[in-house]
Amino acid sequence: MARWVDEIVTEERLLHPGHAACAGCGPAINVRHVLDGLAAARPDSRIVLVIPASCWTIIAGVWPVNAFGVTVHLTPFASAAVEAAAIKSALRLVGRTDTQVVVWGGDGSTCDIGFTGVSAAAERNDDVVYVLNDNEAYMNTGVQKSGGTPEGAWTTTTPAAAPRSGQKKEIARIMAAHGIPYVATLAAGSVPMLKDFRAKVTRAAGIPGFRFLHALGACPPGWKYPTGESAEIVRLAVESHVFPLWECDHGAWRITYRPKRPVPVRDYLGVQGRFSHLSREEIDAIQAHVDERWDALTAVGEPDRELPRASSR
Amino acid sequence: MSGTMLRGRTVLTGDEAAAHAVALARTQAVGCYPITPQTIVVERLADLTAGRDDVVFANVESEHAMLGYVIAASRVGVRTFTATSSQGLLYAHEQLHRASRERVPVVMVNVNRSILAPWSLEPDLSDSLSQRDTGWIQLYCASVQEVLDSVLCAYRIAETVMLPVMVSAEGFLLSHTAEVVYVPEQKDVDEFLPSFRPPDDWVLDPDRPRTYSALPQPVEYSQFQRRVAEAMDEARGVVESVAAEFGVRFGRRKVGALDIAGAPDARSALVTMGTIGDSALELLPGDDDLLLVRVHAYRPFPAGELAAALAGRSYVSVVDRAAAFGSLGPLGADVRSLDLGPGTVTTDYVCGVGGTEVTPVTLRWALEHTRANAGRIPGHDPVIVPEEVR
Repeated sequence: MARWVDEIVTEERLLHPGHAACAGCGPAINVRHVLDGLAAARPDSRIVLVIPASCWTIIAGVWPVNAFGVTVHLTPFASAAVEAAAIKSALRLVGRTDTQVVVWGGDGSTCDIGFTGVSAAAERNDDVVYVLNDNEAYMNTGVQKSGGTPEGAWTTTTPAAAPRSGQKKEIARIMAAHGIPYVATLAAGSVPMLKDFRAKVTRAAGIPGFRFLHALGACPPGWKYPTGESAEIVRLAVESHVFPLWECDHGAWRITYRPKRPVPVRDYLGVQGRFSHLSREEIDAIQAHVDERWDALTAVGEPDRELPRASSR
Repeated sequence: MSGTMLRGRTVLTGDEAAAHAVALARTQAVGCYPITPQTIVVERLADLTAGRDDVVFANVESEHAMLGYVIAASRVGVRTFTATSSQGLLYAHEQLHRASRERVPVVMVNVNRSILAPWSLEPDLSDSLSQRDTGWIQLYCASVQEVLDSVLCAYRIAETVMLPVMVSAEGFLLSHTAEVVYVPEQKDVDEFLPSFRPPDDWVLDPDRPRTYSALPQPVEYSQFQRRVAEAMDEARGVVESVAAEFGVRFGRRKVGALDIAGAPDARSALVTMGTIGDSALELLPGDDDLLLVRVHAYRPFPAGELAAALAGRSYVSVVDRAAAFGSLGPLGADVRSLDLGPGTVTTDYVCGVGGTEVTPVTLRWALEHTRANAGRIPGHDPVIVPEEVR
């Protein structure tokens, strides 16, 4: 597999070694592929990264250190989207049109406290790339429930005796309903999935207006699994239809990765401690909800091709 | 006046005067979210900036977003403006603290309006006075002309000390009241207010990868706050020097920190803010034993100048147009903090709340109450003036 990764990943890394993320941090994998992909797609551009309160306030480095190879603007929890828009507009006023302004916001920011701002930036079609770094709970504060937390999950505020009820917010479909130029879901679970991930980042870099990328990132301390399994768990999320990979490009929907032999949802849930309290009946109910969402999504999207799999090359 | 600037001697409301000053300042980015009675400020600016490539007028989704917008735009090195009122200012509270601590020279007009509950559109100063500790320089106006002039001075002050400035004007009493004003010529404003040139190290630069507002260790965090306090101290002198320069350049008086009138050696002094200071002038004819002090620059608090003005007065009556719950009103507490000596009785009066009218009758009542009750009002208690005294 390493050979395939090397073919995809050849450029300078914009998240430096020595950053403060946990061992096995899935979002750390994602953010470097987002940044490196955007930089590679537009080699003459600069990047300004806008980060609301999150793990990444810490991971970016203790002052005066910067773990990123790009300029980083840290914001309060709720205002990352509008501040990205402001930076983009102000840079134009000072004659800088070469800069990609990118938000890296968590599921708490995006689905909860900053949702108004994300929706408003989309409605205005502000010229920014908004990346939802989704690890499905408030992880920086110690695993509390967010609007991105999936059905049935344990968190410290939805304990096993009263786990998360209701469904994870369908944030990417909500963003697509704004009619923005580009929406896509990203998962770095395997080499084909990474190729899909990078193709979507490249596509996003080439479009003006508001682009929304939803990246699923596994969190070892929050999801309760061994640190070496982050890519595998994200792969299972995709293969089980829990996290479908799709895009909506100027209104054209497409499933970009269609699992050949979908795995049961229990295979995904069973490798994570956050779901270990679930009964067979509860898992069956989650399976039914996942199936319903997949059917609804594929009814909207136009499945037209499968990505080549590593084994078929 | 849609889309066109008025010049010279003309008639404007406070909101329109603020918009004129912002346009004359060649402001480059305006963040907008509407709230009564601020709306005319942003409506006029929308007209004045429509179709221009050199200005961004951003309609955003909340006051919190609006402050975020101007803070971030300012970090790139452009001159910014926003305006709000009442609930909007409170909704943006988190961003206010951050603006000063990030040393962002945003200028904001706050049109004073009382705050929920219950609902009211009428003026008092509770909204902005409750933002006292956010690190903003605060200027309070008593006339439409002072609104216009203070916005221009605010940019000079903000960009000199790198702190945000809030120019406050009471709703309706100033925002919607038309007065004769002098609108300066663009070339004079350009000479008074050169382009915004922030320090290189402060500007958010895509070519120099750094993390701004990165988490420091406790000692470094403390040092950042210390620098904000030092900048606020520096602002005391800058408020005065900018006002003096304004007066010379534009040929009309500009108040610095304090507007002082009446008899310097009077036994009684009345300390006010905003339009009440203008009403107080009606007390002077026929009373040669009264000193009036209107606080224009509330933060940084002009403690030295105010103590000098009040030293030797027997009776000091302070007027707070803001609710005081459980302690003195904001201005009363600040005046009480001055060391005026045992020969001075200071009493704090709460009146004018929620737009209740404050007339010379109200103010005379306060002055007489201070004399009549000298030594009988605990210094830590405000006197809530009966609403019928007006």
